[in-house]
Amino acid sequence: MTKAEFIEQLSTTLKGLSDEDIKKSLDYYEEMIDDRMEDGKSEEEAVGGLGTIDEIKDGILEDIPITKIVKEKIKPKRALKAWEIVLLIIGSPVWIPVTAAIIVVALVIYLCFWIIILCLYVFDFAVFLSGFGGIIGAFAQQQGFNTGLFLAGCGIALIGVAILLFFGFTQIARGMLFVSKKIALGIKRMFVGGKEK
Amino acid sequence: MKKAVLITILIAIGMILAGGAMVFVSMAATGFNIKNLAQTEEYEEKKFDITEDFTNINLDMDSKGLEILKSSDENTHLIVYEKEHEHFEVNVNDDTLEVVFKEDENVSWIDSLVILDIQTENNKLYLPKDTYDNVVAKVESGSLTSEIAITFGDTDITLGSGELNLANTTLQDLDITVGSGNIIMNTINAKDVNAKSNSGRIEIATITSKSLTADAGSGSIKIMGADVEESIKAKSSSGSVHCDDAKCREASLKSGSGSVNTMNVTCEGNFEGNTSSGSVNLFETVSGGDLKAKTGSGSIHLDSCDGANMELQTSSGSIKGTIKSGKIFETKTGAGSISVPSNDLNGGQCNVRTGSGSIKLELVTEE
Repeated sequence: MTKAEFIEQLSTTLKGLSDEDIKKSLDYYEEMIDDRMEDGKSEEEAVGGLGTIDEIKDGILEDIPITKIVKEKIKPKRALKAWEIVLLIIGSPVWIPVTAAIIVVALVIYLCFWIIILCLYVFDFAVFLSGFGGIIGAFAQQQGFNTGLFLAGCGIALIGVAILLFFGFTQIARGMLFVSKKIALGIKRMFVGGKEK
Repeated sequence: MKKAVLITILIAIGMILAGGAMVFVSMAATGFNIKNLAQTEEYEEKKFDITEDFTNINLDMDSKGLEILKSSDENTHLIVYEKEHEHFEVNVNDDTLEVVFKEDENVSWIDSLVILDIQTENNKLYLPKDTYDNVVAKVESGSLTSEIAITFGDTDITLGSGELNLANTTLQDLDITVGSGNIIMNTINAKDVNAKSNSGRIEIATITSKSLTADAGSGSIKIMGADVEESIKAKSSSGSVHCDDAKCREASLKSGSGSVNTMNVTCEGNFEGNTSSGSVNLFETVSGGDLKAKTGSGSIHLDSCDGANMELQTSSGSIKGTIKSGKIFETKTGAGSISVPSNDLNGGQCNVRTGSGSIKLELVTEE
């Protein structure tokens, strides 16, 4: 693929983003290809080394906030005609609540991800505190050695469990963040992209 | 995996093994009996012998359950279990037996640190007479049991987190409030009965009363054998409601997300079985007034049921079964078949509606 073909395909793929974002991305990749060619690579090699158009598109989308993409998509590209404005006003009892509902659902799902992650760590902290409390209780109790040993044992074991849980929960949190990133990327993809010529 | 993470995980596993070994050793040293690690030995049995006569009872039991038993002599006896910093005060004032649990106010946090506090013995109250007037009983965190044949006046029972077992008792008005335990009643003769449990089940067997109200938050309600002069009202937020062998003037059985079930229920007036998302199953249920069965998203099943007028309604289930007398039917279904007997112009109205199920009702002829 030549540099011109690559830039044209990338430009088509990024349709839906603001002109500013498209220009910024095209400039960046143009410069990267030029640099590679200056280093002695052929035009095809320089373009081929960048990855596929889809991979590059995903990379670009990851850096642009979803709100900016949606805003750009719904922003009228021309002045609205009178009948379009009237239609928008008449339809507002439907499209405003529907849009609001979609936004709220998206926010709730996003919040749920973080609340689940928060709950995991709160649970882990509670287990740790229980263990800590067990050790303090072992020294504070006045019922004899065996009860102290029992409480200390429970406390030490619980702290160990809390440490293991911390690592486990961190992996779960990473997994959930990865999934949420993929979902966000999927939503962004719905708004961006044109048919390749 | 990073070396530091690996070392931390190994330390954590070591702590679990070491802690488990310490627990094992301590349990082995005490014969694997967890009670030997508890502070039950600090409890002291204390007996109060009450020679004064009284007709009212006021009990404020805080930490342990209470059993009411028949006294073998003419005196009242109270057996309680006290531990350090806790005691009971027992007095007879104004014809009232007062039992109050007291806890010392100036107790350090170390002394109040309760470790494996296992005390299985209930406090016991032995009553000599067969009849008393008003009873107020409050037990914060234990059960209350009274199964002796006894008569009380107006009775108010409040339990925080225990179970109430009440049997063989004749009362005036009975008010029961339980926070998180069950209410079990058997062979009760009372005027107005109100039983409410926030998260336990309510079971009432063989009751004769003027009215009966049972309200369970998340538990089920079972009424078996009820002869109620006025109304039976049973309501559960998320448990099922059962009512078997009951006779009353009116009945209202409601559940939020559980089923409503009846067997052999006769009402002089109206009957209503209502649930938001469960099924309604009525067997041999007859009302002299209107019979209503409604559910949000379950089926309705009738077996030999009847009412002067009937209203059967569900949003997304079938309505099937047998009724005892002819009716003028008005039926509607969103998506399903309809099969009902021919209209009997001498009968009452029977309104049958379902959003998406079939309707099949038949007449059953009594032999």
